[in-house]
Amino acid sequence: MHRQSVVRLARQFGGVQVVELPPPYLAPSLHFSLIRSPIQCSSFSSTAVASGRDANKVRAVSAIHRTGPKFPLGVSKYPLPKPVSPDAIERRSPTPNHGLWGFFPPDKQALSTPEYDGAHGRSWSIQELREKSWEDLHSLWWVCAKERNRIATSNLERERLKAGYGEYEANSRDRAIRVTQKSIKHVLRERWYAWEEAQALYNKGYRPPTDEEEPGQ
Amino acid sequence: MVRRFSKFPKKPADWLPPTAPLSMRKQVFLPEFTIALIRTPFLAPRYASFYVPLNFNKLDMRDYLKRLYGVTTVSIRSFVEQQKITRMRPLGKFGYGRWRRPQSKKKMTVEMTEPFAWPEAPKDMAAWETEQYYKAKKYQDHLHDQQRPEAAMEANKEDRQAFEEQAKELQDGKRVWRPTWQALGLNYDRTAVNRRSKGSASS
Repeated sequence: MHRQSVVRLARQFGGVQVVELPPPYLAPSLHFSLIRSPIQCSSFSSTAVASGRDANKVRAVSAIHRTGPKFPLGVSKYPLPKPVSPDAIERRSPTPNHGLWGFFPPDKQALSTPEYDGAHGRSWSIQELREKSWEDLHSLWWVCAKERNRIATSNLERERLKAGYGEYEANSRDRAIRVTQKSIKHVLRERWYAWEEAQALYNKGYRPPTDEEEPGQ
Repeated sequence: MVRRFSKFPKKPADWLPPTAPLSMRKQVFLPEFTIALIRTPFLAPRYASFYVPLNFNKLDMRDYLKRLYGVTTVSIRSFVEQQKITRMRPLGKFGYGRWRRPQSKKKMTVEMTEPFAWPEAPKDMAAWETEQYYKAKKYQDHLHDQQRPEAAMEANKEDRQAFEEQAKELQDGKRVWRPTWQALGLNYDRTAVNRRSKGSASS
């Protein structure tokens, strides 16, 4: 029996005997109370619709169709900036004492000339470095590091500009610096070994003779 | 090992606060890396970009710039540039090599307290001999091309052009054809032979 007609019959005859209905496990939809509506069954969404058409604030705002915003924005009161050609932009004021000038040759050019790069001396020899203190060696190392950074910057710029010659000179200068750095490490390594050997001797019980115990005196 | 989540992460055993004295921290006395400043005209003057080693971090960069160059940094952005894949071409042949990707490069963009403007590129490239460099490069590339096994099968375009021009000049009558020995000014008049033959005829 159709549910609607059951409801109509029940209204007409003042209630239907529960006994007359099929058992609830066979037709659960017929067992409902007439006063309180049972579970809601509807084929549409029952969510409350937002005020207006819908809640989308940017509906019909399209960048493709150039609609512009629907409401004036906070920046709308300022005029749009006009693009300027790079030539018209005024030159930045150079900072003469900036630390980044360390990445450039002393004449403050964008890249060093092959003449400047080629005018370098030999690297420090190990014999010369042996006489230097740790402070001297350390400062020399950092001078080398700075110069290598400068050469790397110049190399980048030469490749960018497709300037031409200069790679050989830069490489030979870089090589001289690296030889100096290797020599510094060599000298430090020698000192380390000397210290280790001295320690071993001392641990074995050797004590160097002082000035008073000197055999010659 | 499963690492358990904790709201207060446990610090490593050798962790030191940033206020620790320099002697307690891990110091680098003899750095072997190189950093290079990049030309960046599109950046604001207070920004500078560098190529740095891949294992460099922002704190390293800040300390390095401060100590070696006296440049105070406000903020640092770091970026690893992946390189394009290329083919290995051991014999200079096109294709057929293994695909490989060169090592990435790390870039760091530093915001400094002081503005710095890159110097202008030099106008006069006479010091680098640009023209001579590219002329020599072209010539060497040409010589290199001549060494290829396929080079013998290809037409010599320069010679072709020269022959064509010469033929046109001859056709127009601008130049008169002469045999090579005349053009070179050689003398093939064998006077001794002629004299002897004439003498034998008279006797």
